[in-house]
Amino acid sequence: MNIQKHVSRRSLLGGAALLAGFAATGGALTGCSASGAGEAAKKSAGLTIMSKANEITKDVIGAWNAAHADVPITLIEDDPTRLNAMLAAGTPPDLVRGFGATSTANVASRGLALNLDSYVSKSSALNDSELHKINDVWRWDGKAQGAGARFGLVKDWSQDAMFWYNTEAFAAAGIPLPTADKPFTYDQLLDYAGHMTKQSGGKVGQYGLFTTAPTIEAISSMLATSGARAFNDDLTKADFTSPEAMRALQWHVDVAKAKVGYTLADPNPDGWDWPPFDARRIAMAGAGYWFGGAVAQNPKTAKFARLAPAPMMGNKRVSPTTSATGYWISAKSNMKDEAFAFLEWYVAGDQGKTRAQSGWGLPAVTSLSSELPQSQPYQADAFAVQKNEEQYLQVISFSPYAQATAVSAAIANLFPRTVDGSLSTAQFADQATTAVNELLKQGMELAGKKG
Amino acid sequence: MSAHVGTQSLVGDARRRRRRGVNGGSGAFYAFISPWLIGTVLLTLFPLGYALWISFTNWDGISPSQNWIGLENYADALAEPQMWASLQRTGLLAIAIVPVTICGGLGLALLLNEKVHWRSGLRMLVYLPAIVPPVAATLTWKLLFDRDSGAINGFLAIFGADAVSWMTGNTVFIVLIVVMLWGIGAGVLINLAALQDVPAELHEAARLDGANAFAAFWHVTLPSISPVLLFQVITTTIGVLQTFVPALLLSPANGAAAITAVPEANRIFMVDVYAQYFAYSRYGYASAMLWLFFLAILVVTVITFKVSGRTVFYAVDPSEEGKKK
Repeated sequence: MNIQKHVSRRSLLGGAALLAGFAATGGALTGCSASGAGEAAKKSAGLTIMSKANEITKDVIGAWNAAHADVPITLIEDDPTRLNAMLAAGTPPDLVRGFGATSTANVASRGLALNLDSYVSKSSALNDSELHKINDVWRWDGKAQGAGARFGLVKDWSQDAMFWYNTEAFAAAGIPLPTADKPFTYDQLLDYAGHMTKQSGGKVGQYGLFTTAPTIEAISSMLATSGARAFNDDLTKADFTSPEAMRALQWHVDVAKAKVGYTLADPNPDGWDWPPFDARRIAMAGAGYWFGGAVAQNPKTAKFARLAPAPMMGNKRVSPTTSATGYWISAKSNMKDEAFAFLEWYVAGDQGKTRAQSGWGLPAVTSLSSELPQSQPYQADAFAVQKNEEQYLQVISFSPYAQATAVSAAIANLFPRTVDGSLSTAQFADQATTAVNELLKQGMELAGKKG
Repeated sequence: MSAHVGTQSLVGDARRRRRRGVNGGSGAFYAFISPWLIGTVLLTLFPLGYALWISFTNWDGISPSQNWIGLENYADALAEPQMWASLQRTGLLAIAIVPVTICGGLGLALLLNEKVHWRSGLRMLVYLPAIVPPVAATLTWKLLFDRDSGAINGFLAIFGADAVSWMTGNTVFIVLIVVMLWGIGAGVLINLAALQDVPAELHEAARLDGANAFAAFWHVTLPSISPVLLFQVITTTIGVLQTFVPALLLSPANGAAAITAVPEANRIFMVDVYAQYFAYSRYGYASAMLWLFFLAILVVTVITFKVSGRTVFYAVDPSEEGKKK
């Protein structure tokens, strides 16, 4: 049969339109059925959690499912792109992993995250007296972070401007070891890193400094020690042209030019500081207490690894968290109660206890602090340094009108040209301010505010 | 009268046959193509339309609301030096890759079409890189070009040369070109198939006419396989213009940070688009960039077709093929 000769252009288009209509109608019908029987279907599907497979492991899922067979977990690998798509489709995960320090204002002001106050007030495991003050980074009062309703809870945390160092590298270079009560200045770090950096024939044997990048988190941490901030009071504008911000940017440029550590101009091929620190290719690793979990993997490294307090640019001692990793519950979730029950189980139950004992971060509830490891010398030392450092913890407000990754990317985009001399630091600061304010303006327009 | 009735009857029969044909034949036709058609509507046309809609808004990908801003994203994109820079890099990449891929692929195919020892083994060796997953190939090259522990610098050190920071600055663009040329074997396979389809009698006739090897290649082989070469020019050009994965994988950072850490020399168009979407959350602007790029590729393709009209030889005129003789 010759089908081709029976099909005219008109009938082809007509048929195509019919099929397209069918497909569209089918989609609409699917939507109807989903909304009609939505809640029941969703409940039977269980909890959807967007997180990392190395955190919500198969063991964790198995333990939860064994105790809550009626609420099975579906894990979706942490993926900002997919989260955006799910939000756009109106079907976000029930629980989403996020950095409290930088995402709270964003998800709270957009109405994406559920206000957890009513749950916290009724909870025996995650109530106000049990929760460590670090959980305040997940609070948002409509104007600033640190106060107001809770929109998420921390799972583990660290003070992220702290760093780990190789005692043997420091000793070999004749550099005094940092102590818990007397942090280094950023200028000292740059100077000491130069002494510990070993290069030959274009190859780097060892960098003295940890990996640095002029992210909004890093700049904000530096500014906090000078009593300054990157954002204005109502978080609608950023300014990197202030003397303090310029100094912070200049420090990053100086590090890259001095070639004493991995930077955006000479990136860390491993992506994070553990592999080169473990291999003695860097004398310092930029990480907070949680890094001790990695150090525990290698007894040789455990012998020379020690934790140091956050360095200072100004005279005010501040040691902020730039992550405070935790979870927020979607405001659109059909399983809000179950999602909070999971948080109670995961943060304050046996899972939280196991994580605290591993040293991969500090627990979010005060009752688990005693579980932190102290048996090895490096663990005992890190515990003492951390305990002293906690008094300098401060919540730094991030703007609700842009995502931290976008702000950092806008700054990073200009960095290589500053390092190669195409831009002066003043131009860098000026253009970064313009680029970030453009992002904030867009966010404000979407929030219905005038820029 | 009877003739008139007869004519009416014939016309009526023809109409009935045509209706039966439409209802029966085209039904089967649509049944067969429906998977493709539904897929195209849902997975191509709808996303295209959605991206077009987004391109007229300032959506950030996460906010529940989006504002209509007309052509502002298009105007911004056209006025943005970074977009032109990434477009320029993409063009340079195409200039570097397309001719070498086409000519190199053809040259290798000509060699492997000869009766040489171990021909099958050699063909397999040449094609092998094409079946290595691009992620594995790119990461392997990344290790080879590593400044401190890579084999390339190890080789250069034999001659007393200092280590080169291949993965930073402009040199990373060379690495990208090397990675992309690594898969040249795929073209070899297509060219081999085309070469084996050239009628032997044409070569025989050329030889009888006294043509040497080059003349036979130029006047017989090349025209015979020119439609296949045109196909490769177009698909390779479009493929190179849309390059994204190798550039991202050559980024020194991993995970979500990878896109913003792509060295400037490798910030080709699709990398820029991806960064605008997922690093800067400028969904509207990125969608506008994609539509502008789509138009640019369309223009390049049309120009290629126009130019090829004079150089490509078809044994059967494509405009006549399929017509009833």
